[in-house]
This record gives sequence, C-alpha cells and structure tokens, in this order.
Amino acid sequence: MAAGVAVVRTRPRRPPRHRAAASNVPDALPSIALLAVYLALWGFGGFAPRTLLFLALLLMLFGETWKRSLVYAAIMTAGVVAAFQYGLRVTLQ
Amino acid sequence: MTGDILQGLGAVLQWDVLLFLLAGVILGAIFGALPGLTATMGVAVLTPLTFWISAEKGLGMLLGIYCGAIPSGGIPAVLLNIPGTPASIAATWDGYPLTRGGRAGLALGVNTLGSLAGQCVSILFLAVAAFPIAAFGLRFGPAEYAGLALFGISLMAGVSGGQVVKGMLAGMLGLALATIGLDPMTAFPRYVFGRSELLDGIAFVPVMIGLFGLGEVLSQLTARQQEKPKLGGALGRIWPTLTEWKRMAPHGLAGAGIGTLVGAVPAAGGDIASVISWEQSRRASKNKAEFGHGALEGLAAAASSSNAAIGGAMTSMLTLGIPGDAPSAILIGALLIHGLQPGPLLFRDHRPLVFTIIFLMLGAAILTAVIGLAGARVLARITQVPDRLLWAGVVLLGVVGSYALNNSVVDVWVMFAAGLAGAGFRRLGVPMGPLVLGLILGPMMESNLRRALILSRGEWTSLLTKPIALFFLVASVVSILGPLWRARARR
Repeated sequence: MAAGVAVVRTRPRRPPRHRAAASNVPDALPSIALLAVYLALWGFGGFAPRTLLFLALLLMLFGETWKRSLVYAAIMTAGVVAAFQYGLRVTLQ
Repeated sequence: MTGDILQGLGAVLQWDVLLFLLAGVILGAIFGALPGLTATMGVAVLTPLTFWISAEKGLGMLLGIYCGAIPSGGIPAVLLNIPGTPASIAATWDGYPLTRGGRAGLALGVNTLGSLAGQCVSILFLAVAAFPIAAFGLRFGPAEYAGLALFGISLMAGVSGGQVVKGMLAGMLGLALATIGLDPMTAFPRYVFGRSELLDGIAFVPVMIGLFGLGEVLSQLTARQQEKPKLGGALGRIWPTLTEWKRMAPHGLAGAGIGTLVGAVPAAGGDIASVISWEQSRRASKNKAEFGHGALEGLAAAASSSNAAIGGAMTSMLTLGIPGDAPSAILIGALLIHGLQPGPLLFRDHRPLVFTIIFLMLGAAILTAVIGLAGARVLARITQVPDRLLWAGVVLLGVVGSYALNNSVVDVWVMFAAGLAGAGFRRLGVPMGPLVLGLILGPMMESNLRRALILSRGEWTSLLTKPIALFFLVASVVSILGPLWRARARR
C-alpha cells in the first residue's frame, strides 16, 4: 500500500481528452420531480401500473416518442416484476 | 492449505456458480461497453439481487461484473473515443488513433489481451500476498486497527485528484454520515430524529447505488448531450503478430505491476493507475513520439494497469477491510450481506471462501477475455444502444434494488438523496472516493479507537507506545500534510 501511495504521487497532470459537455441543470429537474412523485406514491395503485406510467413518462422526458416509451416501459416493468417478484420473491408494493 | 484450495476450487466448479459467474461477466461486459454505465454502477445496482442467493453465487456474479466491465470499458474508448468506464480514459489516447488508422480490431485485441494480463498478474499478487498480509493483520489490536483506519481515511487527501480540500470535506461528510445510528459502544441513538429505520445507521448499499447509479444518470442528464459517434467500417484483424507481442509485453507487464500497487491504495482505482502507467510507459519507450498517436505499447500499458488495479484493490479490501476503489467498497457491503466481514479474520475463519474468490476472479478474467475476443463485433454494436434506455433502466434497478434489500421505502429515499448528492458532487468537482472511505472506515476507526482507550483507561499516549499504531499515526500525518504542502508549494 505504501509503494502504491508512492506511485500515485507520480501521477502526471494531463488533461482528459474525452468530450466535455456544458452543464444544463434545469433539463434534469422534471425527471427528478417525477422520480420524487413516484417514490412519494410508493404503495399506492400497485407496483406494475405505477412503474409502467413512471417509466413511460420518464422516457418521454428523456426524448423518446410516446409509443416507444410505452413499449420500452412495459418491457422493463415486466422484466423487473419477473426478476424480483417471481424470481426473488420480493413483495413489490 | 491444499484442502482449502481444493474446497475453494470445488465451490467455483459448481454449474450454478459458473452460470452466475458467466451471467456476471456478460452483464459486466455490457455495463462496460456502454458509455455512461460503469463497473461501479453495475456492481451497485445488482448487489441487492445477491441477497437471496448463496455467497459463492452472489460473489460470482458481482466479481464477474467487476472483472468484465473494466476491460469492456476499453471498447468504446477504442472505437468511439469515449471511455466506457473511468478506468479506460488512457485507452482512448492510443486506442482511438489506432481505430482511425484502420486498425480497430487490433486495438480491441490489445485492449482485451492487456486486460487479461493485468488481471492475471494482480490475481497472482492477491493469491501470494494476501495470506501473509492477513497473517500480519491478525497481530493487530484495537489501537492498530484505529491507526490503520485513520491512515486509510487520511489517504483521501492524496487521492483527490488535486482537489485536496474538496476531497477532505467529502471524507468528513462520509465520517459524519457514519455516526448516524446506535453508538457502537453504548447503543445510544445518534442523529436518528426518532426514526427507528435509522437506528442501524445509513444503509451503505443504497448510498452507493445513489451516488454511483442515480447520481451518474442525473449528472449525464444535466450535461448537454452530444450525438454518440457512429461506428466505422470493418474491424480487421484482432490478434497481434509476434513482433507486436514482443514490443508490447514489457509495457503490459510493467503496467500490470503499477496497476496492482496503485489499486491497493484506498480510493485510487484503475483510472489513476492507467494514467500513471501510460505516462511511465511513454517515458521508458524508444518511440515516445508515437505515444498518443496509436502506440500499441501505450494501449497495452493502459489496459493492463487499469485491470491490474482490480487485484490490488481486492487485496486491500479482503486482507484489511479497506477498499481500494469504489466497486471493492460495494463488495464489502455484499460480503456483509452474507455475514462475512472482510479483514484478517476472513482468512482465518473462511479460508476456502478466500480461494473461491481468487478462482472466481481468475475465471472471470478468462471468460472476459474469451468474450472480448470472440464477441468483439457484438460488443462493438452494443455501444450504439441509446442512452435514454440505459438511464431509465438504471433508475428503475436502483429504486427496486434499494427497496428489495430490506423491503424499506426509507432505503429508497436514502438512495434518492444520495443520487442528488452524487450529481451535485460531480457538478462541483468533489471526488466521491473520500466520502465512501469515510463512510466505510468511520465505524471501524471509532469503535477500535474507543476500545483502545477503554483498554488503556483513557490514556491517549498509550497509542504512541505501540509500534504499528505509531507507524500508522505518523503515516497519516504525512499523508494529510504532504498533499496540502505540495498544493501550497505549487501556488
């Protein structure tokens, strides 16, 4: 560990060359608000329909068309319910 | 010893354990190959799944993800100039120029073979060095453990990537969060605000899922998105020629050595290792001018060192309970879920399991190389999956995984809060390694320090009379003051 610390001290200061992106916080606020509402409603209306609606809206916020959003949301919800509720016997509310 | 080795190997050779290992490697390869998903995120969001299966199967899956994701992170680095994981940053420097020069297949091959070499060397280091280190660790009493934990925490200044003050503040936040819950000595509730759910403290796994899963998604959402570059034409040959092997081998092996050492340092992972190794390789090379323009030696050094950091990180984590990087920190949580406490006692009480872990890592390294070489073209296509689908999947897995750990909505809110904090930290440039170190090492330091003080009837100077504890205390002071002094001198 001491040898590793000595090696880390030799780290060169080289700027990363991968793409840099400008920040735009307001873009994320609707998604954060939607997730907060989804969590606040935990236990109401059944896990599958609530999650399906949440994911479809989230994907639409991410820029997906509503038809594709519904299809992808249905597939993801079915996958999670199958894995956790039926596979691992977790009670999802 | 031989019996333990055979027992450990026997546990790995069960068909269901191998199946979980293979599933982990495939998931890891996907997480690594997709820009935006990282090894840490994969291990974090899938740790809750291992709660319901045996330790061998669970560790097989998580080690498969860990060992599979780091090499695969080199795929988008090489093909698209976008590091799939932070550890593959240095792979872009020579990998992408090789792709632009029409040698994409060879770059992928070197990345995969360099990764295999790095992982094998570091696993060998783990197998050879771990038992003597753990045997030495068995001599530790509360004072030595307190000193070791303090030393681990003090390293947060040195591995903060130049952000010394921010790193130390993040570490302090981790330490503060670690005090929530029942006092380890008196069982007095601290900072629980009357909530019984907080008596056990802040759940570690949801915090990690939030910081590295949801936090990363939110951080990418706030970044103005650019179009993902399209893949170019045919990959071409993947396997290097004998001459190329001879050129690369010394650089790859040196990278593996550097990566293993750097990986063993708390919170210094493959990203730091690969940058250091690439630079050392450039300095040692006769073809310095070629570095950054498609040098196979540079790519081999970067790939081997970023992967060798895995074995180094696992050595620190398993022998002393101090994580070398973020995925190994989450693996501590996974081991605790199965009632296993990393540290010297693991090597005394669960020796066959230690060998199981070593064989699982070796199996994961080999499987990853096979998948990387045979499935290079498929993995190259995976890099084109739209980000928005990945983000939605990570958010969903993060929420359900956090809930499933204890069937607790509080854990989900903890994950949500940690996700917001993680996104904020990324925006402000605050390193998260120190926070994780503080969160993990805080309870270890507090309980051992208080035990040591009880044994010495409150006499603080007794800590200075124990040579190992004194060594760690001095090393901690040097570790904290060194980077601060260097930063001041630079100004």
